[in-house]
Amino acid sequence: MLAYTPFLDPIDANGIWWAMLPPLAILIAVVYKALRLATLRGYGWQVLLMAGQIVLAMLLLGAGAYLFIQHVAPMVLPVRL
Amino acid sequence: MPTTIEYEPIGFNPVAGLLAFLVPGAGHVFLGQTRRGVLIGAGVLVMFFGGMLVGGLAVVDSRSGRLENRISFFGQAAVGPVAIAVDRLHQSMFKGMDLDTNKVRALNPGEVLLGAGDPRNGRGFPVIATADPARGEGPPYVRSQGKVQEIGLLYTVIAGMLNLIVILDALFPGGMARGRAGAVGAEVEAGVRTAGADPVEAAGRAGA
Repeated sequence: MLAYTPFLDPIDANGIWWAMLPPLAILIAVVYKALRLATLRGYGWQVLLMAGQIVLAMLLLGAGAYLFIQHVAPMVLPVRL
Repeated sequence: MPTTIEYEPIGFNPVAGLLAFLVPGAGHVFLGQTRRGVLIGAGVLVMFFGGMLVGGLAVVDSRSGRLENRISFFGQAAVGPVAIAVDRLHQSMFKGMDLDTNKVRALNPGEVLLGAGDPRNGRGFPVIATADPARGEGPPYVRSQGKVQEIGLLYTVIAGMLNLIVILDALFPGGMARGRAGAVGAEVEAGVRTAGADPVEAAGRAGA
């Protein structure tokens, strides 16, 4: 096993891939709010708010997809195994 | 008393657009919006290199064997010369010629890259050979798989897509006036600020 080299080798985080999504949401909010706000007053709070909204939306979409696949879809399209 | 909101004129500033492509955020710095430009540049670059930190060099590969990597490079390239330089570096220094197929490719486990100057090579270009485990040889980097590959791609492609919006905003300063005017209007209603209260920012937006 060769030594890990940052930026060349991937990190060993396949099991905690979801932990990479909140930082991504924060970075998206950092750039988008810097571009979109009329003034940068209250910028930090706006970034936190948008990042929170993105994470919440992802959680809700995930929960919705889970409910649909596990409970709704089998009722609509019953599969016999 | 009725409040009049002046819409920002839509300008056209090709120099700012070009600078925004060359260095993320530089277009807004050129327009006089230094803090905005620094925040944009830092955000885009941290996102791009954050993706490489997660997924490794394999996520930026315009000639990958994986279709999703090749398509994703179009998005990554919008980060600018940084992304293009990373890809060039990847192609020229971390890939080699497969002498069996006469194609340049990334290395698999158990293979080693012999540089042009390596005495075992004898050719003027890097070639792929079987690694000697006793000498601690192996490929120059490990190709990411699974979720870290996907997350790395996601980071780098979103960085490029956001920078595309940044480039357009620098190219057409004030072009997003409708949304901004709405935000200003809401603040006026709330008594927070009055329209045009920030003349320096407005002058910068107009693309002086």
